[in-house]
Amino acid sequence: MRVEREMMRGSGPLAVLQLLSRRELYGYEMVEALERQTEGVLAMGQSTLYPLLYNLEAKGWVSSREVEGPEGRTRRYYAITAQGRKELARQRAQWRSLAEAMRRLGVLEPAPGR
Amino acid sequence: MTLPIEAARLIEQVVRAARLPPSQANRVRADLVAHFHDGLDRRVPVGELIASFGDPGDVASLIRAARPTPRRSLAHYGLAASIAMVAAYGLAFARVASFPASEAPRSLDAELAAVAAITASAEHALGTPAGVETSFEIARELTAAGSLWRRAAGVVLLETTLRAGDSVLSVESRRELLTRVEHELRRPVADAATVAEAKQALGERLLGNEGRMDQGRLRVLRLAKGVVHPELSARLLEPIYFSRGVGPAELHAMAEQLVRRKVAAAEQARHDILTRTRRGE
Repeated sequence: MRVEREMMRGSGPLAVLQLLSRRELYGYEMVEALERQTEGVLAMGQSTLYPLLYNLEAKGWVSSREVEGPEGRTRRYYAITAQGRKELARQRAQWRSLAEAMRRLGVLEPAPGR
Repeated sequence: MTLPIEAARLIEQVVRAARLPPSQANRVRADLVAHFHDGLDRRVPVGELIASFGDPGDVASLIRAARPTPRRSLAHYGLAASIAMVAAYGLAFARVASFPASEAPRSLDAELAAVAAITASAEHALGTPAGVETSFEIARELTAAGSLWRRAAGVVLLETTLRAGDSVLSVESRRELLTRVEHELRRPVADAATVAEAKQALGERLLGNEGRMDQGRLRVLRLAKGVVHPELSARLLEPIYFSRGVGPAELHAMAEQLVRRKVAAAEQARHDILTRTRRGE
């Protein structure tokens, strides 16, 4: 199931920040990781990813560097910044609150063990 | 590996439609070129990559709104390779490899890389009538551009396209192509101001770093010459040659000579085409 565009708009930055919290990645790796790890739910069109990355970079939440590969081609790797980690923690807290509220309403199943 | 024409064109379409300043446009172009290369490396068909990329107009709007930061220093490029070279070639090579970051303008790097990629992609598809048509369109766009590098590459590509057309097009189609090519060559390759601007930009790009060449500058030199895949001998010998300091006068002379040759080659191609047109071939 694909998430509607409006919902994706809000979750896309969080998803990318979360991915980058593990290690730095280049664009195509992110597209693949989002597709694979969310089983296609958060599959992000390339048209969305790069502008999103530029936005995150402009906000200082991610940084990037160009790296030349052995074949002589360059790739841009993105990494989360300290500011980005703070933002990630803030957004995760918001999502937890939202999920909890949805659970109370019965929109989501209760968390395991509750 | 060069990008297929349709991918290269899509990228250019997005970059143009985004209407960004050159430094930002170069950043976006480099990111998208890398993206398509990565997809092709994973054996994803180019059509699938293009389809999943989305509408170029929409992408351009999103990118324009996002305001990417300009492409930054390329100084760290090739650092690992440079270290290996130091081990292999000792002090002389170390002088080439251990360069500091430079504040020289970097837009020229991306411009030359883009021209090389576009041209190579066009030439790659010249074996069919459709490829000849696409190549002509690309050459036309290049010759209509402002920079000397694009115009010169465009004129040379027009000649290459015409020659390829001799093999794969019917007599009537060849005549039609010749007429269209001739139309694109109404004006000389470049006026004096454009040539002077190119010399200045290349000279400035090569300057700095205490007159020492680095990997980034070497790449610019090669691309300006039209060399995308340098021979092994060039890879080995050029850094050694440039391990000595090169004075500003010598660098400017080098830039001037290179630009002069570039213009001469393109003018020769233009002359050959126009001569052929006059002969009515």
